[in-house]
Amino acid sequence: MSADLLHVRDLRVSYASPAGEVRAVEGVSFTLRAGERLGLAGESGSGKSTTALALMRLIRPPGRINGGQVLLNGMDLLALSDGAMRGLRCAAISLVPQGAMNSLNPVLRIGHQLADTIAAHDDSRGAATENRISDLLEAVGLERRVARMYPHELSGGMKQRVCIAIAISLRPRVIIADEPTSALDVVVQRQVIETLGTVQRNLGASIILVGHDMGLMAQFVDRVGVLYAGRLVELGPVRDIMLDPLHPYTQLLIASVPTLESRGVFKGIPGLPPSLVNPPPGCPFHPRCPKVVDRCAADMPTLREVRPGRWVACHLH
Amino acid sequence: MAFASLSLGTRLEAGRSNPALVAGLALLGLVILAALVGPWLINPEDARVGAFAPSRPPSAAHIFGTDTQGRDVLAVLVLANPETLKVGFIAGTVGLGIGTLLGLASGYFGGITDAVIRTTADVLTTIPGVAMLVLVATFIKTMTVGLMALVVASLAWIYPTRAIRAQTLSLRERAYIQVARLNGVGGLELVLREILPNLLPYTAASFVSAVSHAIIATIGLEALGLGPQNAFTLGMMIYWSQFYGAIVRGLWWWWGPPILLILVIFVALLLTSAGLDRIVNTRIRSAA
Amino acid sequence: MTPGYVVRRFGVLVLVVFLATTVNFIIPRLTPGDPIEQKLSQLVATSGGQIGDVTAMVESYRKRFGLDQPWHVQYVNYWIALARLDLGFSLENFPERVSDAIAAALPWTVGLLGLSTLIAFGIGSLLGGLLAWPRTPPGARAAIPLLMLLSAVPYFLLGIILVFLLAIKVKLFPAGGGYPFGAILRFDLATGVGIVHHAALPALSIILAGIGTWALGMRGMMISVLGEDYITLAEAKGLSERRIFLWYGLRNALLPQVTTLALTLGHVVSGAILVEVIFSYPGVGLKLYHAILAKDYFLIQGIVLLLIVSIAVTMFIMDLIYPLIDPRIAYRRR
Repeated sequence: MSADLLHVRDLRVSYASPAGEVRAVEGVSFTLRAGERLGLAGESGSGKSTTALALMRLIRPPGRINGGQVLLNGMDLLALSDGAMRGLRCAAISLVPQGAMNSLNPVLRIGHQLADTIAAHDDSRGAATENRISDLLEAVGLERRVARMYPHELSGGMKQRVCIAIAISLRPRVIIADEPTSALDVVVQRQVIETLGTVQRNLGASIILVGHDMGLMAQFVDRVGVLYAGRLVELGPVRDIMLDPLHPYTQLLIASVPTLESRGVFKGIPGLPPSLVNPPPGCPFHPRCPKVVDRCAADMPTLREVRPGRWVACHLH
Repeated sequence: MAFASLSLGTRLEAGRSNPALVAGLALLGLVILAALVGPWLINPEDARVGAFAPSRPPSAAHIFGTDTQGRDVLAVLVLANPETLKVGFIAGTVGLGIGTLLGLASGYFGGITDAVIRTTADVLTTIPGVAMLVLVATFIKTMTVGLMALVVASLAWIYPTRAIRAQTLSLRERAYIQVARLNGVGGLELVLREILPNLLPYTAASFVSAVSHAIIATIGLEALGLGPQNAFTLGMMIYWSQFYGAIVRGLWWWWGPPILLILVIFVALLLTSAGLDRIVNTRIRSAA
Repeated sequence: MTPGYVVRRFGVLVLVVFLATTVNFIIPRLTPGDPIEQKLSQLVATSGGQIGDVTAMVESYRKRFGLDQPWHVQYVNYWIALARLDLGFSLENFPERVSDAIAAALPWTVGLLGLSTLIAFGIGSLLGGLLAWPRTPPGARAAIPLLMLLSAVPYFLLGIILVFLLAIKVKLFPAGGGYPFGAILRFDLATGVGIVHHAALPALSIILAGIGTWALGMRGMMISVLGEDYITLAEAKGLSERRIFLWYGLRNALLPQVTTLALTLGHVVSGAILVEVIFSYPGVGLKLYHAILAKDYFLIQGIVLLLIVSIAVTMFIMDLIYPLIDPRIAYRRR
C-alpha cells in the first residue's frame, strides 16, 4: 500500500488499578492512509481515547503500553527513545486534545504557547516566528490579536481552535483529534469541525477523529472504526457502515442516533459495558447482543475482511 | 458514620491503611501517659531549687543532670510535660468548641451572621498571633497555666471556625440535607442530627491543628518570658535555660530534653493530622 | 486589576490597622494597676526605698504622659501622636523614644527575616516541585520524612540546637550578636563579612525550619497541577522536560504557594522573633524580649503595634502583586 502512512498492529494498553489490571486496549490494529480521515467511534470506556494517546506515547503511569507496533512511515514509534519520540510529537504526529477548556496553560499568553511549540522543534525565534503565529491563527479563523491574550479571555470554541493551531503549527503528517467538539454547543461544534477539515485538507495531512457521535462521524470521516471494550469490532468506509452496518453493536449504535424524519422512542443499548478487569469469555459484546448464538460465549471473534474494505469481528459473518 | 459504630474488623483495616494516624496517635498516647503517670513516679522534691548540686551533667543519679538552680532536670521535665499539654488541650478544646459553634452558625445560617463572623475571622488572621498574645500576656499581673490557656485560646478559634464553616457550607447542599429539610426537620435539629455527625473528621482535624498551634503559641510566649514564672512548663524550661545562659555555657542537658519532648509532641501531632487528612480526603473522593 | 479591588483590599488594611491600634490602646487600660506606678514602685524597691514621695512622682509622670486625661481625650491624643510616628517614650531607657529604639533594631530584623524567608521559600518550593516530578530519581523521595520533621520544628528550637552544635561545640560561627563585638559599623567589606558571619546561624535556623513547610506544600500543589490537562498537551507538543517542569508545572503551582506565604506571614514573623532572642540578634525580637524583662510597657506596645501594622501592609502589598502573577484574578474582578 504505497499511500499507507500509519500502521497500528496489535496495540495493547492497560491501567493498574486497585481492582486489578484494566485492559483498556486489547489488540487494536488498523491502517491510516495519507490524506485520509479515519474515525474511531465507541462509547465511554471503549478504549478510543486510550488508543489515541497511545499512538503518541502519552500514556502515563498507572497506564502502560503492553505491546504492539505503531509504524509511522515504517518507523515503530513504540520502539523509539524518549528523546526521539519527543522530537516527533507535534512535528510528525500531533494531538488536538479533548477538553480545550483546560488544555491551555492559564498563565501564558496564546502567542507564547504557540511559540514554545515551534521553538522546541526548530529553534526559530523572533520576527519569523511572530509571522508564523499570525498565519496559524488566521488559518483557524482567529484574529492576530488573540496571540496577546490569555486562555481565560477566550470562549470555548476559540480555545479549541487555538489547540488546532498548535496541532498544525509544525505541519504534521498525522493529526489525532480526541473528541475535539464534545464540550461545545452545536453551532460552535460545526465551526470547529469545519476548521479542522479545512486545515487538514490544506496540509494534506491525515486525521484520526476519536468520538462517540456517529452523526458527526458520518459527516466528517472517510472511514470509521468502531471500538467496543478495547477491541475493534468493525472497520470500513463510513457511508457503507452507516447504510449497512454488519456488527450488531454498530447496528444498535447507529439506530440510537435520533433522526429528524421520524418520531419514536429513544433507542438505547440495553445492559452495561463489560468490566475491563475481568472481561467475559468469548466476544465481549455477547451479554448484550440481540443476535447472540452459543459460539459467541466461547470463542473470541477476530477482525476479518469479509468484503473488500469491510472488516468485522463477529461470528455472524 | 461515627467511628465507634464500625466493627473492630473495619477499624483494624482502617488502621492498617492509615499508618500515619496510628503512629501519631500511639506517640501522642505515650506522651499523655507520661504526663498522667509521670508525676506520680518521681519525687516532687527533686524539682525544688537547691535540691541537688547545680549544673551537673547527666549521670546515673540524674539521667538528665541538674540545672543551675540545682533541680533534677528529669523531675522538672516530668512535671512540665502535663502543664504544657494542659494548655495545648484546653486551648484546643475551647478553640474547637467556639470554632464549631461559630463555624456551624456562619455556614448554616449565612446572611449577616456569616458576614460578621467571617469578616472578624479574616481580619484576625491578618494580625500575627504572637503580637496579640504578647500584648495581652504582658498586662496580666501574674500569669498562671490556666490564664495562659485562656490567652492562647482567645485566638485558637479562628482556624477551626473557617474550616468548619467551609465544611458546613458544602454539607448544607448535600442531597440528604435537602431531603431532611423537605421532611420538615427544623434548623437546630437538622444541625445537631445531620450535619454535626458528618463534621466529625473535620472537627478532629481542626482539633489537632488547634492543639498544635496552641502549643507553639504557648511555648513561644513562655520563651519570651511571658509565661507563668512559678510553674513548670516546657516553654518555661527553655526560657530559664536561656535566661541562665545554659546555651553558651554548654549545659545541653537542661534545654535538650524539653526540646526533644516538644519535637516528639509535634511529630505526633503532625502524623495524626496527616492521618486525619487522609480520612478527610477519602471522604471527599468518595462523596464526589 | 480594577480600582474596586484595590480599594477593597485597602479597606481591609485600614480596618486592621484601626482595630489593632484601638486594641493596643484599650488593653493596657483595661488591666488593673498602673504601669507607671508599678515601674516606679519597682525602682523604689531596687534602690532601697530612698526616692521619696512616690505619689507625687507618679502624678507628675502621669501628667507628662497625658495619662490623667479622660479616656476619649487620651484616645485622640494617641492617634495624633501616631500620625507623627510618636510612639511615646521607653519606660526603661527614658528619654529614649520608642520609635528611635525600634528604628535602630528594625533593619536587622527586616534583613534577616526578609532574606531568610525568601531563601527558604525559593529553595523549598524548588525542592517540593522536584519531589513531585515523576522523573526525579526515587532515592530523592527519602527526603520527605526529613522535610516533615523539619516542618514540625519551631524555628527557635532549631536555633538552639544550631547554636549549640555550630557555635559552642564546634566554634564555626559566633554564638550571638549582629556584628563582631566592639566593631564599628561602616559600609565596608570587613563589616559586611562580619555581619554575614553573625547572621549565618539565625538565618540557617529560619531557612531550615521553613524549607520543610514550603517543600511539602509545593509538592502537594505540584502533584495536583501535574494532573491537569495542560500538562498533557504540553507533552503532546513535544516540549522539553525542563520547560514543562518550570513553565507549565512550577509556574502554576507557585500561585497558591504565594498565597500561603501571605497568609502565614504572621506565623513566620513570630518564629523569627524568637530566633533573635536565642542569638541575641539586635533586631526587633530581642528588643521585645528585653522590654518584657524590664516591663517597659510602652516599648512593648510600640513593637506589637509595629508588627501588626507591618504585616498588614505586607499582606496588602502581596494582594496587589497577586493579580500580576495570576492573569485570571484581574479578569475575574472586572
